[in-house]
Amino acid sequence: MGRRPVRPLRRALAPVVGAALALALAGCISPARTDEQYNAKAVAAVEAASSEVATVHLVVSQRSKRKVTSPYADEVVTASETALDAIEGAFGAVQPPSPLADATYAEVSEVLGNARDAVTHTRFAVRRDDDAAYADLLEELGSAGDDLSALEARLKK
Amino acid sequence: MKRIFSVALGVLTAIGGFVDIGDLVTNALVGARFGLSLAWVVVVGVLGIVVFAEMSGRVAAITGRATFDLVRERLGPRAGLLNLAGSMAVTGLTFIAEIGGVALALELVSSVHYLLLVPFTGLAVWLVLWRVRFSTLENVFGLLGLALVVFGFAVWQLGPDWGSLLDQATRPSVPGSEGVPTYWYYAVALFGAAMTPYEVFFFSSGGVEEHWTEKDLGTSRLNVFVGFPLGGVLSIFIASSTALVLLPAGIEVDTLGQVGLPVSEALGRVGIAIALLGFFAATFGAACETGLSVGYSVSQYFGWQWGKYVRPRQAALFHVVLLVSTIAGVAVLLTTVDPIKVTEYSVVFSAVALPLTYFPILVVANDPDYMGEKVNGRLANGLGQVYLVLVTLAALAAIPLMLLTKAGQ
Repeated sequence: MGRRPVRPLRRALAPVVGAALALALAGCISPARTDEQYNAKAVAAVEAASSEVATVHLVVSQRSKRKVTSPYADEVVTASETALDAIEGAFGAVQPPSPLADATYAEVSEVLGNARDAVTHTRFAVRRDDDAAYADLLEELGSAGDDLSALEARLKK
Repeated sequence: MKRIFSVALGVLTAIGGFVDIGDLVTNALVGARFGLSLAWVVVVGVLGIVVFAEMSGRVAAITGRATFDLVRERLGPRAGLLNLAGSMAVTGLTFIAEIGGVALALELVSSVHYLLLVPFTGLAVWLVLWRVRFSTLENVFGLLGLALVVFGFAVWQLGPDWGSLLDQATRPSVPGSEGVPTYWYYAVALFGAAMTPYEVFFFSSGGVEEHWTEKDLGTSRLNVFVGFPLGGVLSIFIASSTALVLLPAGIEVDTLGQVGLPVSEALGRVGIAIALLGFFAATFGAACETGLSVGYSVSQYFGWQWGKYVRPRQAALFHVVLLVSTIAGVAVLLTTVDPIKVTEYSVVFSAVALPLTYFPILVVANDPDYMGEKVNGRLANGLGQVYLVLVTLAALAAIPLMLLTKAGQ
């Protein structure tokens, strides 16, 4: 009789353990064993980076028209910069499976690096409240966004 | 007059209290990726929560007892424990997400990193749970949560093509850039966000706290039938705003800051200030509700004295659960886990736990020994059974879809 409560407890914990396992599996970064898999990871990285650059472009456009406060703009830009770092880091951590994939690595890394630089320049200006810099930054971010879109299109071919 | 005021206040707090971090993030994310093609899920989810909240409110008013009090008695301690573990895992996850949401909202105002704000947020939530009266907590945060109506004004100010929005909502289809499994993964997430289990724990336990009787059934039903659907309309406004501003710009939502950008685009700094007030009220109110739900459910299962109307000394174990769960929530967030990711997972796991929450309510609401003449009618039973099938399907599909789509990527 004394051992009986163990079973319901185990049964009760089963969904919790299952959920934790699913969470771990859903969140892990898988390796790329073929060029196709590597290409898919490159597309995902470029798409995610495009979203961050577009976010920063929108918030700079709003800040230049005084539609958002400085702390809000700073937080959004900083979050996008952090996300871009994570995207670059995650993509860089995947081993290219062949010399052909090395070329993809080089191209994607360069475009991601340029996008990250544009966002970093934006952070400098937003924190200094440098209104005069916003027009140039919108151009730089627009160009980084265009490069990402063009690369995404090429990778999807 | 006092009665009308009381009813209006209840309805307004139900609207303002409906949206939490899960609704905010999931609706914004879905709007930015799928437009309004998943708005139907919000409608289905809101109808579901209305059906079961009405039942749980009626059970509280007729029996004077709350959900877990009756689940253990009606289904036995084993089934009750399974139910408690599943529901509490999800409510605990939601509690963590809400505390993180408060800290993120404060970060957007103050520029102080959210991790520095998390311990103070936890302390503030615990102090409110310990010291502030139940009605004050419910009314203040519910009413301040109405600030999220600013999303509706933003949509109107953006001057959308209403016909196109209506077309997206009424003739849903999977956008070309998204896969079918991803569409269904987010459908399950939205469904989970709309039917989050803590909402019924809090609603029914609140009814017991406020000593509802049969006379209060009308007020309870008005809150549910009017307040919750209007809360659902708020959710659709959030999705509409991101569909109008973020979707065309190719922006996917992964931070709370991005959720507010459509409001600042449409209404400028005043708009974003109101939205931030709404973010804070919605997340802080929900943090209190989820924290209380954990305390209510655990205490009700083990038969401890519980409630905000009882002095802390008389409900010591209830208050220990509140304190321990708040400390645990803060500790998890301090591991630097992303609160938005916690939110995204919490709504999906909500879907997994839905049958555990809603099946017992349907059983108790049908039991004449408890409910007398107020057992479910044909309509409530019919809808309850249809929804039981839906929540079971959502629960079964949630984890396979999560693995298949790598959590919606």
